[in-house]
Amino acid sequence: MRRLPIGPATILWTIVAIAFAVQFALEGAYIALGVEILVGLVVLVLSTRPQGRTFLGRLKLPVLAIISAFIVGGVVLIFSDLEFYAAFPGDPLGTLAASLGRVGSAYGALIVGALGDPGKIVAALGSGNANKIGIAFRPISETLLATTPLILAGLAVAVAFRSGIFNIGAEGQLKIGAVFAVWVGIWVPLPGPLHILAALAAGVIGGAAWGFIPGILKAKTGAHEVITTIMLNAIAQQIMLTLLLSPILQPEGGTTPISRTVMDSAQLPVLLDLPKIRVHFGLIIALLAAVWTSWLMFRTTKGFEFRAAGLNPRAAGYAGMRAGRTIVLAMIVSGGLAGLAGASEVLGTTHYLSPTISPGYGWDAIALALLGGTRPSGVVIAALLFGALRAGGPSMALATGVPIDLLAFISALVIMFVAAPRLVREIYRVRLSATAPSTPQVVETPL
Amino acid sequence: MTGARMADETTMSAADRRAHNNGLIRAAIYAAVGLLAVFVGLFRVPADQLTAYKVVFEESVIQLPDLSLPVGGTYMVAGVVGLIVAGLQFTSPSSVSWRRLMSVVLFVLAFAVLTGILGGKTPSLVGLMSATVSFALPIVFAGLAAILAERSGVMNIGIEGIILLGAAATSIGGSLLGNPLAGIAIGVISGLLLGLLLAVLAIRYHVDQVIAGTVLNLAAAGITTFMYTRILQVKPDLNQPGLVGATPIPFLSEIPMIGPALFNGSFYLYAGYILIVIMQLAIYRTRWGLRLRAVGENPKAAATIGIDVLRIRYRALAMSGAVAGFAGSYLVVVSTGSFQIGMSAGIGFIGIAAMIFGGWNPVGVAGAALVFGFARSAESRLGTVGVDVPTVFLSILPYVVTIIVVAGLVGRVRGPSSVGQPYEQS
Repeated sequence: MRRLPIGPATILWTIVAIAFAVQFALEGAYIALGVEILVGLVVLVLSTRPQGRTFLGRLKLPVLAIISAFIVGGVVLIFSDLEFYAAFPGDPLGTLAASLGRVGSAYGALIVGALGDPGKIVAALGSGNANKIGIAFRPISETLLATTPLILAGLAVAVAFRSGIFNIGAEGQLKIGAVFAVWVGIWVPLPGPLHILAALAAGVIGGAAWGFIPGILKAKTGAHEVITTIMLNAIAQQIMLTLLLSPILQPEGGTTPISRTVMDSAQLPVLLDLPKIRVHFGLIIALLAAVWTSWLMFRTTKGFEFRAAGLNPRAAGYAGMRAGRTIVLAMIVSGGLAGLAGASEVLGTTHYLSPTISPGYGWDAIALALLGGTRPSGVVIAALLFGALRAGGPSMALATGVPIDLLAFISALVIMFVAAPRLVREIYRVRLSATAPSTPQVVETPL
Repeated sequence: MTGARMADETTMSAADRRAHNNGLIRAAIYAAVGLLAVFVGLFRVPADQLTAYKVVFEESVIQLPDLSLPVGGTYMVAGVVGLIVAGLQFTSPSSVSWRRLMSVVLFVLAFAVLTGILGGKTPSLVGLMSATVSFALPIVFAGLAAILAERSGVMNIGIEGIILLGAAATSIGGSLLGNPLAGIAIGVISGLLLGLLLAVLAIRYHVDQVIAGTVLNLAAAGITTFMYTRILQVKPDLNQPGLVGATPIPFLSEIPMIGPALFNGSFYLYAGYILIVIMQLAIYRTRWGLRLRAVGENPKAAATIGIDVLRIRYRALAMSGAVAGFAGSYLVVVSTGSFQIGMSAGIGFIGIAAMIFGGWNPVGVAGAALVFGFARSAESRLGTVGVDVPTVFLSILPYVVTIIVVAGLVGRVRGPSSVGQPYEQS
């Protein structure tokens, strides 16, 4: 059989995209329309690009993975609607159109919730009213706020992946880092900036210690890091809950698992002193961490050893690199970055510790590391996208009543598609370069 | 040949020497802990302190007086048991049955500590045992699911997610069809399909097995919460599959202490017994089991003698998923009667822990699940009798034990060699 130049999914996606565009235009949701046209153009360009090591060639797989995840999410949204089943037999086409419309408004609300309304922004800037400006920029601020821990956790997983280690324990390392940071923030009286630095350092140390355990166990005994980090995640959760209910962190007379508030001197300042704006200096720290990680991985001998161990640990061993030390160091760096994410959350965003400190940042981090091709720059871009999802979710839920957990499902699908280049290739009939983000070439030690 | 004699031989391999040393370290730890327990029993506990355990339920046919245990004496007995085990371990440090010995020590110590904490109270021992079994049962199913996958050479991290989705499917299916048994069937079938999905991702599309499992867990958490909020909260009648009652076995269920725990349960309990026996026999005594193990250990060699590696793996993962779905249905139709958000509560991961602690062996998994179930029921009991101790140590026990075991810090376990590596059929 002759192969079609474009796959059935691409045709379907084009039809749906046109339908959405018409609907957005009718509703006057011009940002959603703009974003959609942009995405459409990107896909169009990508599908005509030859494979290779070019920037666009590298974008191909992540973009197609994200689009596929949203399409599946839309299908779930339609078929989980009970009214759909009631109305479908009477008016199949009309019901389907209405359902597609609802999916469109949900995704549209998501985009507006993440980026804000340009009209309002312009109006607010014109009025010069600080309150109005704050409200108009709040969506962007919330996106950047959610991006902050995602960048750090994503970097943590990316460093480990590059070094051939499956660190799926970022969630636990983040929590231990948050516990350490909040403890210093509450109990160690230090003057201003010094206090912040001490609390951040405590977070890094906590996370690094939690990363050190699987690292040293893998290096010394060959214990599989996937199993140890899964177990350490559960242990971290229990330790955090116990401490939250003990006088170590809980305020006097407290009954709920919520810690005392950290001292003012330990709080990360807000970037812009406007009402409703919450994005804080943690974002700067996260971006600096990305630059530092990039320098470490691609400009230093240690980074070279990390990457060599990730590509082929045996070859690295023959070249005289000490595999055990590399593993431990990579896990310390990885855990430290995850711990910093936890510290930035408690010191900048919440100012206290609660069981919901991480709504799955450590798990999103896996998606980010894969989407970003385990490159720090890629992780930052992917974190912005996931941050937008996290920030836009509540608006979507509020405006259209679609439960926010749909986004958790979509994130999981993104990981699946991006980890399965063969699947994407089959669906879209596109050629994918072999340089697509691949999982590390770990020589698996038996459990 | 005893380990002591082996140590003299120069031909001993590095791995053997390590196992030997680990055995000696274990023996030393047991001896130290045993001595500590004896010391605590002799000097640190008030001589007349008693813990009166109820050994029968109030409605039982046979009534027995409370079992009054002196706290100090219990510590001493536990200590002596620890010392004996230490001695056994010392005489044959490389013994393969180290897991059994470790379970004994863990169990008697946990019991002694429990007795000590409960000093002066009248807790229900029979209730504790029943709770142990009902906590252990889903862990057993999860552990068996993990064994099926790993024995074929595929790591199934996604059991947690399959349990959660199986629970949701059971609840919705049972409510729609108006029968909890139909719901269970739906739960098992959806588990089977998810196992196949995992197999397709891992085998056909070469998604890394860890990532495929993680995806399944995340997707399951997302989609079930989504469905719960979008459908089950709006239509609560879709979340009422009904309960499966207990079917006591006549006479056996009246045995004091152990009867109510072991012979008065839902059909899941008896299904669990049967499944453990069948799987133990199937894995070690049948042609299929031999092939399964061969594929898990060395797929290339298995393929060379004509075994269809991929087919064995697909089937094993489908079965693994079905068993995990069965575990999910248990949570719904026995424990709560409806689906709740996040109700799998880490059972899938503890099941993996049980698989490792149980040495990839169905009977071993049952033993490990009992130890973990005991820790969990002790944890929840301590809360109800109003004892204010940090139960965090009990709740993290399964995870800590697993880390220790995987790291080979105190013993050696080895899983199937090819776990985690994709196999390309040529």
